[in-house]
Amino acid sequence: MNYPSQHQQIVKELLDGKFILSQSNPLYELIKANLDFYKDFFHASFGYDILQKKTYFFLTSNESNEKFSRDITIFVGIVSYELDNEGKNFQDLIRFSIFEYDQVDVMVRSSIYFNVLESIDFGDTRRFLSRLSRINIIEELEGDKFRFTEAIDLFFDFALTVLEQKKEKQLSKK
Amino acid sequence: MLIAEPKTVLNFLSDKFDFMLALIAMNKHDAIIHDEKLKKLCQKENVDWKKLIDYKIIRELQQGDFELRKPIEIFINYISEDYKLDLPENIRKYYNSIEEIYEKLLGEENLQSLHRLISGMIDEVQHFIETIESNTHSLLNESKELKANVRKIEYVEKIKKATYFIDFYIVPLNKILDANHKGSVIYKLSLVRELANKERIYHPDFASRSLYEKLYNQVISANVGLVKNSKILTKELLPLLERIKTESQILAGFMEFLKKPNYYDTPELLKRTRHSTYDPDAYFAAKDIWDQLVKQDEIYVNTADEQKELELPWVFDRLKFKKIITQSLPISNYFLWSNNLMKNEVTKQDFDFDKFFAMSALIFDDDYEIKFDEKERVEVKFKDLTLDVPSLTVDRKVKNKIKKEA
Repeated sequence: MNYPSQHQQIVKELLDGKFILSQSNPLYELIKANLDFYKDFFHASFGYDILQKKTYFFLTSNESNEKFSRDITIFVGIVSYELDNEGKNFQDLIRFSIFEYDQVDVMVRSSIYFNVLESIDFGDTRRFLSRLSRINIIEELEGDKFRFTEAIDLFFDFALTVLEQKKEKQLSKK
Repeated sequence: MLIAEPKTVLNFLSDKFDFMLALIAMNKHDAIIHDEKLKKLCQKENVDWKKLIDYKIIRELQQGDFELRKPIEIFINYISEDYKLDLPENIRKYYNSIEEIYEKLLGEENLQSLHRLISGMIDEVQHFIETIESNTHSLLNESKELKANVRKIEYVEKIKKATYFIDFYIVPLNKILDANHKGSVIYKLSLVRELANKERIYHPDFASRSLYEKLYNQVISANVGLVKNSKILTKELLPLLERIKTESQILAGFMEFLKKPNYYDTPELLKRTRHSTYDPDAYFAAKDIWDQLVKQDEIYVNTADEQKELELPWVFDRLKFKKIITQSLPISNYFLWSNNLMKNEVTKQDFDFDKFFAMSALIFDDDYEIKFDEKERVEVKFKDLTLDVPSLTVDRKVKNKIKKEA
């Protein structure tokens, strides 16, 4: 059987929990061209699902004890809130601008929602961000700087679904 | 009739400009000016409230309250660039008035009436463009204020407000300014422009030509202004409001989530596994195993000898022996017992050193209780050595006993 080129690398990166991004990773096009194969492959081999969003692919394991996703959502929620609080367009800033580690550290630690971060054992901001970097949610840059990647949209979309769920809940109460 | 001199009124408005702004804000907020509030404000700003009536700034209503006079409100708002949003219906009425004058212009032969109609059209176009400009300006201000969230309103409220501006003002305004739509004011203005362009050259009356020229310039300039405002609406205001709406939705979602971070199921990510599918040495490891399977040495059994039974290597079956131990409890002098067991009952082989240790390890499970007397010892003999070991008594642990009894 012929496997798609760079199959080994594709499987390794996806199994490492990485987001395969269209802008920066040539593997994206290979997965896109062989999407049906990879859907079957990951489902049959590991019971995982490969998800395709507008500009990235990633694997999901549907395991209830996966806590990192919750930690990331809390972190992104706090950064968004704080940027908005400063009167800035947080969506554009998060999508397109460069942040400094110290700037974000001060931002989250002085947030009124910092207690939520503490409840998840957030620890050191730099260490947390380096975990985000390992799965391509941020890209580390020179000089203690980083930028968020397009994978951040997953959490923005999640926030919209939370609002929808809340609305539905309110409607069902009525 | 104005009781005071115009200059006196203007001086008053200039001196008391901040007071006037407060008065306008009061009128805007409550739609009328309550008597009590007015007098309180006047007292604070040291203004004689009766002068406001004399200067035709306010009008007394029947029930004792007041209202701001429109020309004053428009004038102050105009110079302070604080416009009130007009209803789209109020803007759409220009379609009717422009159309009506246009139809009359087509058939009017009386020069005096014609001049009056052209001047009326010029006024109407001017009012229309000013209304559009003030509304666009006002919408832009409202949107920017909403974005900066000066009033610190909730995100859900922001969503509602942004949606309201889009649906109630921007979409109808866009329709009014849509040149491709025959029902739009801007389309009607294009007809006026064509007429004015033709008549400013060919009309036999000089005064009419001059007026048409003025109307033509007015409509051209209006057109430029409308295109500019239309661009602001579609390229600046609409995206800004859409962004406010989406951002507020996202933030409202995040805020809800941060209130109850464990209530909602967050996006499913992959829980990373420790084993890697592709070990760099996987090829060689697999090759070793494969080689062993495919190149297995053939085994020959010589049945011609006296050895009739093939002896397979002994493998310690932990579960099997543990079961025998459990069934035989309590066991006194365990080592002697296990020696006999191995020799006579199970393997029929010598109880060698390895088997001794394998059997010894079994009784150290949590299930058993071991007792021994230091003075009582026993010898276990092997081929090359003899071990001096204590005599062990093995029994069930107390908790297991109780369970069994219960």
